[in-house]
Formats: sequence, structure tokens, C-alpha cells
Amino acid sequence: MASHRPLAPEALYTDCRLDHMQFDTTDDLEDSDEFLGQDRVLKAIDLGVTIKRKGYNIYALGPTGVGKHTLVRGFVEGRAAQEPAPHDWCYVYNFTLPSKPRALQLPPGTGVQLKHDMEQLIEELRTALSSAFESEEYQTRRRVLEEEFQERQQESLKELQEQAKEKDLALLRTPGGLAFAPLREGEVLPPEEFQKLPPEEQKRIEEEVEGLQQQLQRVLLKMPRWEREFRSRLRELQQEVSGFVLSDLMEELYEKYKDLPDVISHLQAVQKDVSENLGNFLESDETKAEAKAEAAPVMPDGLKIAPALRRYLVNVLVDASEAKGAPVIYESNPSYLNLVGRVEQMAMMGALVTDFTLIKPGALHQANGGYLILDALKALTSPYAWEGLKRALQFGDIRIESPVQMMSLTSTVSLEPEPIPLDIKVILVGDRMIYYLLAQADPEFGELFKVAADFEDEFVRDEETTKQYARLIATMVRKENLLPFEKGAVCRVIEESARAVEDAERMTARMRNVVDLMEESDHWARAAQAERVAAEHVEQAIAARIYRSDRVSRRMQEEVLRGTILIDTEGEAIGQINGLSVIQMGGYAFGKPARITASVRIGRGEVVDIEREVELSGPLHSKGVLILSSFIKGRYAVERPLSLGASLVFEQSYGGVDGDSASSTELYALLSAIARVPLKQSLAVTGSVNQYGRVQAIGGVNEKIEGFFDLCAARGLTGDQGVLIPASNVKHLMLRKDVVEAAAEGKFAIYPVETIDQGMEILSGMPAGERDEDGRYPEGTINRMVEDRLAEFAERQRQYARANGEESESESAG
Amino acid sequence: MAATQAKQPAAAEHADRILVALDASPQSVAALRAAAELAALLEAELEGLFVEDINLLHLCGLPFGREVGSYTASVRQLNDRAMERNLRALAIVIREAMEREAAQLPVRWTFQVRRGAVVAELLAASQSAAMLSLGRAGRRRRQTLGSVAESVVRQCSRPVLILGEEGGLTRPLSVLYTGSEAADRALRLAIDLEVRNPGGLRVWVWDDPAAGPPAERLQAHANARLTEVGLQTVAAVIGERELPDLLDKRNKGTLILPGEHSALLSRWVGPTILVP
Repeated sequence: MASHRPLAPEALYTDCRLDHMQFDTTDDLEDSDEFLGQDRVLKAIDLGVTIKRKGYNIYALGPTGVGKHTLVRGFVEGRAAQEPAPHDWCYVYNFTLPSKPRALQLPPGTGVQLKHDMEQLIEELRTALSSAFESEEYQTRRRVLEEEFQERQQESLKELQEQAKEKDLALLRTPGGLAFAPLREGEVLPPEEFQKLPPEEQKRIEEEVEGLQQQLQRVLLKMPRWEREFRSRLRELQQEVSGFVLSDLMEELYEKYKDLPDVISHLQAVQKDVSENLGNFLESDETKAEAKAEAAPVMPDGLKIAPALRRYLVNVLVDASEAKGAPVIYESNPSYLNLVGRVEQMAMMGALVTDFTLIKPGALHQANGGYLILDALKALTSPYAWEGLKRALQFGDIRIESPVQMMSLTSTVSLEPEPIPLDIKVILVGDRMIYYLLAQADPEFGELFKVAADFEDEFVRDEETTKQYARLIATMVRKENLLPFEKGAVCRVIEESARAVEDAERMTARMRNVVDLMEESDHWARAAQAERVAAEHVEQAIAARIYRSDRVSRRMQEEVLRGTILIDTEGEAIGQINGLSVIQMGGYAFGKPARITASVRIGRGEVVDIEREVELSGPLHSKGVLILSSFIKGRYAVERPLSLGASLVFEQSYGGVDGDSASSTELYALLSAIARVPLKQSLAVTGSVNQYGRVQAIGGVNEKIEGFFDLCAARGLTGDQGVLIPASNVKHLMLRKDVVEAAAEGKFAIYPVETIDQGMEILSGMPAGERDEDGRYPEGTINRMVEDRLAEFAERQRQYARANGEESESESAG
Repeated sequence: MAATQAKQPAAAEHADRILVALDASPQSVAALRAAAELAALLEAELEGLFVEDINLLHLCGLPFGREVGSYTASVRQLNDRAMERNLRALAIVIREAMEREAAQLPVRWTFQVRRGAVVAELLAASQSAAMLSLGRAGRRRRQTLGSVAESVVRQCSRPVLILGEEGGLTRPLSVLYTGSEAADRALRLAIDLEVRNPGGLRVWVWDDPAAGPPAERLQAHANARLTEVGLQTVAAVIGERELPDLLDKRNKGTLILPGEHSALLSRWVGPTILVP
């Protein structure tokens, strides 16, 4: 039997020394590139932002805490700074279709100027027009018109009045109009007096009245026409007076914006509209003052302008006057309205009204011409936000519609602002799971987000990367304002980041967890009033972390120590072995020893996995059991039927098991039971097995070893105790200091195992044995004992079958 | 009438009632509002009067009693029953308007309806009032006074408050002082109102080189009146040249004129108190 040596202490923990770096504390280290080890991501994002084609938006996927946001923002901001500033975007009144405000694209900074110019224009028009209309010239000409009109009216009535007077008749005003009546002594002739008049006289009066009435009718019919004429002449006069003022003021603007045809056409529309609505500028001072007083406390500045004049304002949606390079916007609340913008409404006299000045931009407007970063999960969980985003990207424009409108649920009068063309790169940041779900379930996703930037979870740990990692730690120390970390502390942090990914040759890329540890270490250092963070503070932080979360593992260990949960750590037993499982609770994982037992009898070759029978095992565990039974058949029962009945059980397991890491363990227990060879209870085993008896790597190796070590240590280390792990897991070892120390003192052993035979030898202290030229295992080896026992089962089975006659024959044929 | 006019006391001194002539026109509502303000100020009772025009009723009784609609120019037969009903309904509306106005300030008020010739009834009722308030004209917008207002102004022995469509007793008060007895009363009224409710008072001394005492003396007299009651106002002299400025539309406020200057009413449309 070959001798099986436990691993040397150096193999149990790959410490970090940073011998190749000369520094005392992190203060001596330069800043590093924060995007350490994410070359793939950088290339992906670079591609995404460089290809200016539809659909090349980016999804940055990776676990939380790897610095997705920081990297994406940092990279994109660097890129954006070199790109041109975006355009200004304004909404202005649409004079032909008021419900569809026009969008104006302007060079950066021009929007605010135009807004300012228009406000000034309104103010100047107001004063210039009212002074023009108060001028002597206008007033006199107007009065002439009015008098002409009034005279014309009165003349014609006066004429009638004169005629009436001649005939002793009076023109009277009635509630509804005018009437003629005979007069006597200045009063209307009472009816009874009238009756007393001679009939000819009565008739004459009646005829005269009728004649006058007809004339009056003719005059009155003309009056509305005269009034219209008067109005139109008045309007002509106003046009004449205002035209002069208006063209003078507008000329300046035409000159200023002559290179912007859209603005010019808008200004022309404004000029036309102003000249058609001069009255709006001529409201009396009183109404102005009242309107202001009412509006002042509640309304924003723009709204204090009289409603009729607001149409000349400019709503600057995007102001790029301060922009340095392309915009990079991170929208932390990507609701539908925050993305595509909204048309707000205000209450006025109890009704909700709106106009183009109430159009508010969304993140898409702000980021237009640049980059928009969003959290994928938030964008997906906000109602309609995802649909709205996709639509904007698909059609390449931003259309402001309320969700209610979008779904055509209401048809209240609202605005339909002209869509604004969209030129944007959207970068979604989120989990891998969401990416894969979207890729699978949303057919549009692939078309719109063609670039996946997949973040690494871990880096290779070698001399060069460790160096960079140390500098990254120094950068974080400065960024988070932590006390400087001593070299030892940096090493400890690096070691812990290797432990975090359970790999001595890798380091975690989840910088958030690393920073957490650093912050906690800083806390302990400050609590100790140290000026630097030393290795012991990091150690303290780790210990405190474990202490905070190890309540359950302690309780379980207590129960083992109290004998409630049966685990032996010394002695020998047949068909019984210590397995190891890992329990993950939140961010904390711990190893827990579990007793696995096997029992055998004559049977028909089936290995009963009791966990599986009661549905307490997951598919991986069941698979492991099937593999191990297949191993037994393949090795020991090639030429005769396997007449074995066996059952395997995880003792005192009530919560279900999964994973195949116990399959080698179960196989040892089974072999022990078949061969009737006792196994050392001072050892615990982990590792999966394949059909040929090779032991394969498993996860959580550090926690498993430490779990068994803690139990043994609590009972007192005997020097015999140890753990068998797959040899391929050795590179993952980053064990706790106390374990490493115990190993160094020879009190605890970790055996790397490649095959089941090796494992059996360690566990039983007997050679496993190899087949000789005859194909037989040598006497006194475990394999021989297994084979013999199985042969014995088969023989007995045959005898039994013969004794029982046909019944069993038919059965075995089945 | 001559006797009372001779011993005409200043309205404010024993102002116990202010009469307001009411019809349904916007001007009469303005007149009502101004009168109510004045009544509150002078602690007087407001008396509303609606005259059912006897001429109209007579007209309705005539076989050819027809009206021509002023907008539609259609001819409609008038009917005396309908007219009476119409007038009664109008009276109710007016009474309610009056009740509202009076309740706002508040002032004591009465309302009566009389039947007769409008001018005569108003003049008769005004005899027992300190002041009469009425609208400038009927429905049509125009510069000139309506025929009723014109007759009343010509004949009334009490101060008459005349309101255009845009009503209310606006401030400041501008009083034209000519040195006549009426002008004295006008000045007294103006000073009284200003003392009761300070809102600005301007005194313009009328410089008429053709007649009357020299302007300086009048100015001194007016200033003495003003200082008597402790007002800071200083009288200014104006002539025909400055008159357009005084009567300018933008010059908001109430004009108080002595009776002999009633002609100015055709050049000024703002609220006016004419003091005979």
C-alpha cells in the first residue's frame, strides 16, 4: 500500500506577501486603473459606443458589487468628454396646429437665448404697442373714426326724430328697441285721449307712425353693417400703427437668427400672429395687475405672463449651453414619465389646462446626443417604462405621450408635441439572470441591445495582478477616506478576496465586498485609535463578521457536542462515515459534518438512496448515487449479476440535500459495508466520484474542512483527525489560520485524493489492491473483500432462486 | 324751488338720504354702487327709485303701439299687459340687485316703484334727498348725456352723481372751483368726502379772465378752506389750455363740478358729481 501523505501547510493557504512591492502603507502606492481585469467589458463597451448604428446599445451584465456602474460611467464619461455637445431642443407654439407644438433644434446655448429674446420681445411689444396706441396720432385718428361712426348713426336717427317732431310724434326707447308715439305737451298721448280723436285724425297718426317705423327699420338694418365697417377700418388703422413697431422689433431677431431657417419661420409666424392679435398686448393695466396678483404666489415665472401672450414664449427642453461634451445621464428612477418626458397640466378655474410651455423633458431628452445609463431591473419593474424605452429606440424618436394616452384609454384634449429625433446610446446595467431572461423572452431585446458587456467575477491571482490589486486597494482607501492600510493589511485583504472566491489562484472582482471589509477594518483600527490599518484589524473585522453570522453553525455544533446529533470523531465503524455539507445563509457559508451510513443485503442490484425515496434529495444527489452504483457494477459485477441490495442514508438530515459532493463518501460507506471493513471515524470526506472511481472537485472545500475541524477542535484534536478532499480542490484551499497551524503541528491532516482506492486505503488503513494477471484482486485487499462478498451474495441468490423454483425464474427473466 | 335753492345746505351736512335712479342698465348698476358707497361714507340711507315710464305704458295702449327692435329691426306689437308685467319683473330684479349691493357695505336702504314721467318723478323724489345718483345714458355707448340725465341735471336742485358704465366712486377727487356759490358747495362736499375717507383730493381753480374775481384770490380762498380742516392739498390754477389734461380719460378719479360747468359732462365720461 502506497503511503498517503497529508498536504503540507503551505498548500493549505496561499498567503500574500507582496515581496515584489516596496511600500509601507497604501499612501506609498499610486492610484490604479479602477477597471482592473475587465478587459472584455471594456472592449465590449468600446465597441458599443463606437458603432453608430441602430441597436448597438449595451447591456452590462454581472453580479452585484463588481463595480458595473462605476466602470460604465467612468468609461462612458471619458468618451463623452471628447464628443461634441448636444443640440438644444425647444418647444414652441405651433400657430397652424396649436395642439402639436413644434420642436426646434438649435446649436448649444441658442435655446436659452431665443427664450430670452422672445420674452424681451413680448415685453417690448407690450410697451411699444401700448405707447403706439396711446400716441396722439393714433388716438386722434381713432376718435375720428368713432365719431364718424357715431355721427352716422345719430344723424340717421336724428333725421327721423326731426321728421317725427314735425308730425307731433316722439321717438321713444322701449326695453327692446325704439317706437314712435303721438305727443301732447311733451307726454305720450294716453290711449283714452287718442280714442277721443276724430277717426280721420287717428288714421292719419297711425299711417304716419307706420311710415316712420318703416324708415326706422331701414336705418336700423344698416347699423350692423356700419359697425362692421367701422371695426374693419379701426383694424386697418391698428395694423398700420402696429406694423411699424412690430417690423422694427422683429428685424433685429431676423438678423440674429438668419442662419437658422426653422427659427426664422417661427419668427415669421409670430409676427403674423401678433399683428392679428394686437388686442392681447393692449389689456388695461388693471387686468394685468389683477392677473399678476392672482397668479403670483402659485405659478412659476413663465405662467405669470398673460395666457394670450404665452404662445410667444419658448420652452427650452434641453439646454446644452453649459455642456462640456456629450451628456451622460444616469436616471435613478426610470419611470415611464421620467424617461420620455411629460406634458404637465395646471388647474385653472377648476379645469386642467395645458400648453406647450408645460412640456417637461425626460431622461431621453437630457441624454439625447450622448449616453443614458439605466438599471435594468428598475426599468423593467416601472410600469410601461420598458415598453416606452424600446419604442423610443426602435423608432429613433422621443414621443411624449402619457401612458393613458399610449393605451388609448382616454381622449381628453391634450398636446401631441412633435417627436424629437433620438440619437442615444442606452446602457442597461443589471444581473446576468435578467439579461438571459430578456434575451430569451423579449424578441426585441436582441435587436436593441446588441452588445453584452459581461463582467468578470474574479481575476487570476498572480504576481502582476496582485500588484495591481494592491494599488486598487490603495485607490479605494483614498476614495473612501479610510486610514492608510499597512502592507500586511493589504496582503490580508488580498488573501480574503481570494478566500471570497474560494480559490487560492483567483481574487474576487466584487469590489463592494472588499471595500466593505476595508471599511470595517478601518472601523476597528479607529476604535483602537491606530493611525493605520494593520493586518490585525483586518483579522478583527473578519472575525467580527463571522461572529455576527455564525449563530446557526454554533448551535449545530453544540448539538453535536451534546450528542443530539451523532457524529463520531474517533474510533472505527463499518458502513459509517463522516460526510461534509455546506450551508449557505445569506452572505455566510459554513461547513457541517453529517453522518452517512450504508447497509447491504442480498438483492437485485439496486442501491436505494433513502433521501431520494422520500424526495429529500435533489437531482444532483440522486445522480451521484446512480453513478456510484454504476461504479460498483462496472468494477465488481461485470461477469455475474450484482446480487446486492443496499441503502444509503444521510443520518439526521431533515432539510434535504443536493449536490454530488457526497457521492465519494457514500461510496466509501457502501464499500465498507460490503467488505465489512471498518472506516476511521476521525476522518471526514468530501468529493464526487465518476463511474471509474475517480474523485472529482467539489465546491465549498474550505468551509467543509473548517466545519469538521471546528468540531474536532472542540472535542480536542487527537492528531488522527483530518479530511479527505479531491486532489483537484487543492488549488482552492485558503483555510483559516488555526486550521493551517494545526496542520503544521501535525494535529490535523488534509489528504488530497484522486481515486476511490486511495480514499479507501486512508480510511481503512488497508491496501485497496489491483487486479493481477488473472484478473483477481490480491488476498487481503479491500477490493478482494468486496468482490468476494458480492460473489457470495450472487451464489446465495442463485441457490435461493433454485430452491424457490419457477417463481423466481420467471422473475429473474423479467 | 327757488327758495330751497337759495338756502341750499351742503349735502353732506345733513345727508340723510341718497336717491338712486334705477333701471336695468349697466350704468344704473354703477350708479347704485357709487351711491351705496357714498351712503356708507356719509352715513346716509340709500333710497332706490324705479320709475315705470308712463309714456311707455301709454304707447302700449295705442293701436299702433309697436316697437322696432334695435338690433334685429323687426317690428313687434306692444301690449300693455305684457309691458306691465315686464316692468314689474324688472323692478324685482332691480330690488334684488339693490339688496345685494346694500348688504355688502352695509347701508340702510329702501326701494320704491313709482309710475309717471321719469324725469318728473326723479326730480320730485330728489327734493327730499341729499343727493341723486344716476347713470349717464340708456343702452347705447356714447359721449353725450342721455336725455333723462340731461333733463335731470338741468333741473335738479340737489347734487347729482353721474356714472358711466365703469362705475364706482373712484379716487382721487378733482374739484373745479370757480368762486360761485355752487363752487363753494362743491368744494365743501369734496373736502367733506376727503376728510371722511382720505383718498386724494385735487382742487383746480378756474382762471377765467373774462369774468369773476382774479384767480389768485380764489386760490387763496380755496387754500384757506383746505388748511382749515388740516388737508395738505394746495389748489392749482388752470385755464382753458389745461382743461383737456384734467378731462383726460387716463386721469382716473371722480370729478366734482359746480352746476354752471355742466357742459363739461360731454367731454368727461368718468364719475362726476354735479353740484348746483
